[in-house]
Amino acid sequence: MEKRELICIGCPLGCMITVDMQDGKVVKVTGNTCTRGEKYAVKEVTCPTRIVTSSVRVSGGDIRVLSVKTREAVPKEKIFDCANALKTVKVAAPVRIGDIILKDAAGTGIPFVATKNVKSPSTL
Amino acid sequence: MYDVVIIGAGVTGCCIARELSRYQLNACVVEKGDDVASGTSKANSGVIHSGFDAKPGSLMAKLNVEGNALLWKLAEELDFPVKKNGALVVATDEEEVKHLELLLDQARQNGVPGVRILSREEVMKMEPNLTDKTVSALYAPTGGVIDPFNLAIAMGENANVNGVEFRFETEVLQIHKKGEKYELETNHGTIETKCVVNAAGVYADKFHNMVSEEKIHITARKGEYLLFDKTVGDLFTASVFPVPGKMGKGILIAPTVHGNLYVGPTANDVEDKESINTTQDILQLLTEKAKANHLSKRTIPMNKVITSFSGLRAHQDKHDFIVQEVPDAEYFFDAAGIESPGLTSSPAIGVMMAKMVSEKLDLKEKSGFVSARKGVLKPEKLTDEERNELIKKNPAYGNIICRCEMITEGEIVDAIHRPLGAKSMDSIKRRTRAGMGRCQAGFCTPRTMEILSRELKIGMTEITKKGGGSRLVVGKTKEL
Amino acid sequence: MVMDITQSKIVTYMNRAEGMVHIQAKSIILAMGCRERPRGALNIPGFRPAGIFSAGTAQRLVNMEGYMPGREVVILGSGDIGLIMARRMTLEGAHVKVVAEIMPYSGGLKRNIVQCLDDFGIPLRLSHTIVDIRGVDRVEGVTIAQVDEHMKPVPGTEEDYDCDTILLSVGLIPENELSNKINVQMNAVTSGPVVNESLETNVEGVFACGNVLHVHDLVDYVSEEAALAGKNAAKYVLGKFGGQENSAHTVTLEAVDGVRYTVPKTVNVGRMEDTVKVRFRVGNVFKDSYVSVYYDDERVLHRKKIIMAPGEMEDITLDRKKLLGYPDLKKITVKIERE
Repeated sequence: MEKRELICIGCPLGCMITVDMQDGKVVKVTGNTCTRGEKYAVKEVTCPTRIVTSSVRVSGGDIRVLSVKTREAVPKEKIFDCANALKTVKVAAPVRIGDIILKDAAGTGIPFVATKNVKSPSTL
Repeated sequence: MYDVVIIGAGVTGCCIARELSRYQLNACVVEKGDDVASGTSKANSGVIHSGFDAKPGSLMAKLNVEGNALLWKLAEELDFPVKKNGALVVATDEEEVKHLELLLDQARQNGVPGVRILSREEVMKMEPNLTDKTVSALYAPTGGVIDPFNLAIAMGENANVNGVEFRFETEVLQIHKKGEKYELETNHGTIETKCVVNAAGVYADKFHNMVSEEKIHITARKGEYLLFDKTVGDLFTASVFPVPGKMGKGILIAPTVHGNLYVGPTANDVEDKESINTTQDILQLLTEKAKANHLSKRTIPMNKVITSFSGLRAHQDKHDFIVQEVPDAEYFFDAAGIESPGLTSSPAIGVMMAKMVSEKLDLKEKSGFVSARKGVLKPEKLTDEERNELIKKNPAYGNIICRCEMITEGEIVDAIHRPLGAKSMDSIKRRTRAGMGRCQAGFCTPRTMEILSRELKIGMTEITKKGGGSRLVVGKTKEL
Repeated sequence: MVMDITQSKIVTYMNRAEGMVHIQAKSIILAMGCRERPRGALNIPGFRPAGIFSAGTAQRLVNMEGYMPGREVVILGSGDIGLIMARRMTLEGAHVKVVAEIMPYSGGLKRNIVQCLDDFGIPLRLSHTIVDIRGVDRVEGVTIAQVDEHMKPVPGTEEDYDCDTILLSVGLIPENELSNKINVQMNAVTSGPVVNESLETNVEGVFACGNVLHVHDLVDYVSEEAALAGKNAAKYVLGKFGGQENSAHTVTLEAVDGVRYTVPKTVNVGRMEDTVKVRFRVGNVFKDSYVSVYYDDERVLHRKKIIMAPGEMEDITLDRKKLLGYPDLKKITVKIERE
């Protein structure tokens, strides 16, 4: 039996949740106050995911740095790989919110998308 | 080879440089900081002392009263801000009243104009926020306040315009006398000069002692301050002093020339002459002083503190200025032990030193000395029409960079491109006040950095707070 | 940028293209936002080297300019901007060593504690503050220490951290310098204007919304407030604001027992919309407690909350129909009750 401890992020209460696991499966969740906590805990110990927010440089636009995020949440252990995958990415203006900036963030299959519009001089 | 090298571009060095620039000579100021006024001159009370406090017969007393008289004229000639708000020493009991009589007598001996003792009624009328315990007060009408940086900046700029060279980030490491000349070993090579003027502040003893057997000793005496927002700057009109104690003139609660209020300075001797840090105990003490605020009936809201800082006084063991040619080191001149009232005295020190040096070197006055200087143009002083005219000519004056102090891009660009122009964030701050307000440069830092980068054609990573290793950003994102 | 406003509602602004311009407004909406509290306001002792940034300044440098303020980071204050910058700097390759928070609880959202600190193993030290900053040119290190219940550092608890950067996330201050010029009445708790149900200040026709009114946790509430201020200013300009004739119906809100303030502070029942949102913050962490609302002495709301914390805004809704049933009502009290 393996015990995993985590803090629930559902609300400011921040319950200390303990998850008992056997062979990678959740056996018991304790410490949560509500069902949202249980759901969160199960997800967090089986397949924790995060949305990664970052930025890339943009050339020929009205701003120099473009904010981006992964369109969906990526596996938590891929956070750094995703962020680092942007190091070599440069985009050219114009850019529109939702444009795909990097097709596949670090092999997750999930793209980075723009969260800002960038105008280029011709569209100014 | 130079005729004169001045060590130190503090207010003393700058005043000496400016007065020497009246003569035909080849002069240079060497400064280890990246700007003028980057040591003691940048962190002090900014008080123009009238001269009642100095010991009668001392050089301090003489130069204080002379310096005071010179300052008001210089402020017009060189366009830097001063305010003649008067000084008050407030007595709150009979013991202190006796001390006022002593000060009055000193004032008369020192030749301070207009000093008199005010009755409780008179002084309360003048300063309604003074404590109810006020018994009487000594009033010195020639007391004032000054922007401490801008005196040094104005003098330095004017010296530069009149031909004095300035070498910044140049630290003198050793001085050798070689025949008829001095060799100054620096971190940027050796500088040769006929004559040395030592205006090195807390380090003046170090340089003096390199050439003289008659050793002097300078103690760094730290003063810490709390600076308050302009919204509480109207507590007092005059600079209000408590009756002085042993370690200096005591802790003041006084307005600055720009309308802030400050509490300070404390006085603690420190070993390390680089220790311009504030300390927990002293800031606590100042906070308590400000809260208790025994000279005022109004409490000072402590949430209006915008910053704290400290400076080092160059305290000489005999507590007097040393302005001399060193007796056993010909052609080596000291301006040492320049502690309070050093700022007020500096123009007079400049005149005195220039006289000594010019006589020694038999210098001739030059024709075409430029005596006037215009400071950084302040749009806030213009009428709307004038201001609009200015913005039409140069739109940068329509772009506010520092919201707290309402400083425009035009002023910052002016500060960068004038003589001895600003190269770092602090040097822009001292010339324009950008970043000196209530948000303490939180808002304008990135914007000012961009302007510096653009105007000086240097990368953002090259921009420093105050020269040397004080870079603000370490690289581009994605490159770390 | 607006340079000045007057009581007669002359607004002076300046920009590069037009210079100084004066306009006569019928109504003014104050929406100047807030600024970050600087190091100086905290009286943190030590040197004053480069490398000390407010979290928002660092955020601008990283996110908008594309520059890294430093490599080894200590963060003071656990406000949300500081937490988010901890993650942001970490993802950009910096090492965030510790976050020190002077209060015994975090000022930020729980989600940010977990996803910005815990995810990256960044320790959060509650009841700790910076007591010394080292480094003449650039920050070289800090000393943090535990504080006692009076927030005074406890001798002997000092710990040194080597770092080149300090980020401050220690609170936001509404920027009311313009408001003060026209004598807008201020609330000492929020440092923002006192407003009525329409978000109007004591100066007729001058409204306030967003962080200049009170510092918000979520931008969604700011947008709601802004829309309301805009709508009411428009009504005022059109002469449809419903005026002082209803002022007899004005009820004052009082914040006591754990409730630090309310926005709005007064409600003109004759003029209010069908419902009015009253936002407030609590002054401490409350578990298993109740938000209670009293109409004079009568308790009309008793809502259980598992948790309330100073970092998160709370609200109650006032209902016009219900209030019309209390024609003599003078005071609405909002408080936290244990049971």
